[in-house]
Amino acid sequence: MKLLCLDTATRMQTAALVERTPAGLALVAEHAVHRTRPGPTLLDDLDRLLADAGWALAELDGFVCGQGPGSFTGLRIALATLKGLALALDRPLFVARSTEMLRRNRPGPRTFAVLDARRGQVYLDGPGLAPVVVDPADVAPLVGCSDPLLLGDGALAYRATLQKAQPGAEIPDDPADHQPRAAHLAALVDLEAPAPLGTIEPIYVRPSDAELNYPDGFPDALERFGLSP
Amino acid sequence: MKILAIETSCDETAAAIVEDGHRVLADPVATQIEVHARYGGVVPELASRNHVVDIVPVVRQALGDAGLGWADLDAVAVTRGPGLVGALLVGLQVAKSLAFAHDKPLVPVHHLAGHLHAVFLHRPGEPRPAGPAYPHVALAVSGGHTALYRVETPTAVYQLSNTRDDAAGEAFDKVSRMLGLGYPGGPIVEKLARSGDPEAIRFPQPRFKDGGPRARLDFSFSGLKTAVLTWIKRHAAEGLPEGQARADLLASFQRAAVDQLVVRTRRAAAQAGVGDVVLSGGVACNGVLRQRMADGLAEDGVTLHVPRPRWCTDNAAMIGGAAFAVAERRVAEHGPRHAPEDRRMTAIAAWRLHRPEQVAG
Repeated sequence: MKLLCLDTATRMQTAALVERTPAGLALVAEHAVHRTRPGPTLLDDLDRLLADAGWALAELDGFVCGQGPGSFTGLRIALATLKGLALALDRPLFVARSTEMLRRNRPGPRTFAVLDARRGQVYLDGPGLAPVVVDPADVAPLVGCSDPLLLGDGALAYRATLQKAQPGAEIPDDPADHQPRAAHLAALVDLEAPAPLGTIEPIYVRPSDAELNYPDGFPDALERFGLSP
Repeated sequence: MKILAIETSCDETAAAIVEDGHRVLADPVATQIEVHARYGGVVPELASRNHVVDIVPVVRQALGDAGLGWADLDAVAVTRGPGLVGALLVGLQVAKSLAFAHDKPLVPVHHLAGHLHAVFLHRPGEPRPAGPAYPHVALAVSGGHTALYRVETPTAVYQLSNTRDDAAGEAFDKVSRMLGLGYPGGPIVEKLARSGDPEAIRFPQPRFKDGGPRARLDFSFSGLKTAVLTWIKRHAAEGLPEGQARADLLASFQRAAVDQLVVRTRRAAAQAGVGDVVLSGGVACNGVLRQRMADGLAEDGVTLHVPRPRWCTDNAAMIGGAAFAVAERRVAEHGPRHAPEDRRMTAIAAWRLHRPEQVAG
């Protein structure tokens, strides 16, 4: 079974071709490239990855997409692109959390993913947690141990804050530990149970600004101008 | 030639299959009105979130309704702009993937060029509309756009004017919102205005002091919206207008908005010396506008053409129709194949129509 895996939850676009054989999952090719706007180049990048591996697009048996949390636009670009390919070729699409993918760089009960959520916040995910968006200083009380291993661009961006709040927190120096790798996605999905294409959506965690700022909807102009009866 | 078209520029997720630029074989639309209603207007992030869920079912439905498979299609068309960038990106990426996977040409279409083309659309069993002769003048008027165009050929469209602030549909939404009447405002205002006196309140028409060539054709609805709000404030002691007072207020507002659209369109048609005018976009569903525009143009000896109501609001059939002329030329010159630049296409959120080659393709 030949799979194309893709994650654009962070600025590091990562893709991989993975083959499932009776012996397990085999990595055939992968790339990681810094992209702030992945849309215009994504299909070329995937085309080149396939060519390097000597695979044709039509040979693929399925697609696996990092579902987030992460950049809203990044998540939608990857998902829309793979939905289009899966729909066109009538192949299944599988999704797994981008944070779970990152944790597989250093799997373990004290490994947490900390992704940059902008606006001074991070997405935190790990054992015993559902993904949340929090201030870096609030990571410590949520991880449930004194010596967590923190991975991801958020851990690097807020290293000082995170370690000040929790001196026992370990943030590796090796950049490879923080590097998202789409190849890990293949190990996270149940290949016997694809989700229906029409229902898959990113895990945003953070609501839209409209929902955050106006939970009851925008006020009528009359209320805004103090003209309510 | 059969074209699969995708449109996600605002708050409707739409796909369509259109044959030879006019015959609409399928055109499902997933609307998000309820999502945005509580905000009184479209919330861009929520629109993008809904497109990514709705897009696959809508494309599947288009193929299913038309009873066609990928091999039956000659090209894919997509709205490249203008619109909400996050919303455009969802449709664009899906369209690029479909065209790439099946080696089909991808034709980018300007959203307004789509609206201007909607007047030629019909269902397979219906007679083909005669449509306007070329050149003609077109008014595109919706919640996001209010502009006049001179349409020389199917692919040569020149913008004559634009709104300098709000779109006309936006003014209807905002006035409706002021009175707590709901969203979208157009149909609500039109219904409640029916029993009102359009002469009850005199709202001002915009005047631009710059005197440029476009000053007599440009639009402005911000002042009108403010004038309505000022009127409501002035009468705040009596509470919110209700009953006849509200009907009179809405009818007067609608009269002022419609007059502005009709006067400038007649002026543009006279300046261009054309015998046909197209009225398109969501606000073209407004019955008062249609009637007054038809009557006004008839006095000038000009014929008005309006798309069928379902193709006045955002849809993908108009995109598939507008793509035809470009797709046909592309296939004739380069064959029915995908090109590398198709999959590199970007969305253009603020795509201005001013050069003919930019209409599509």
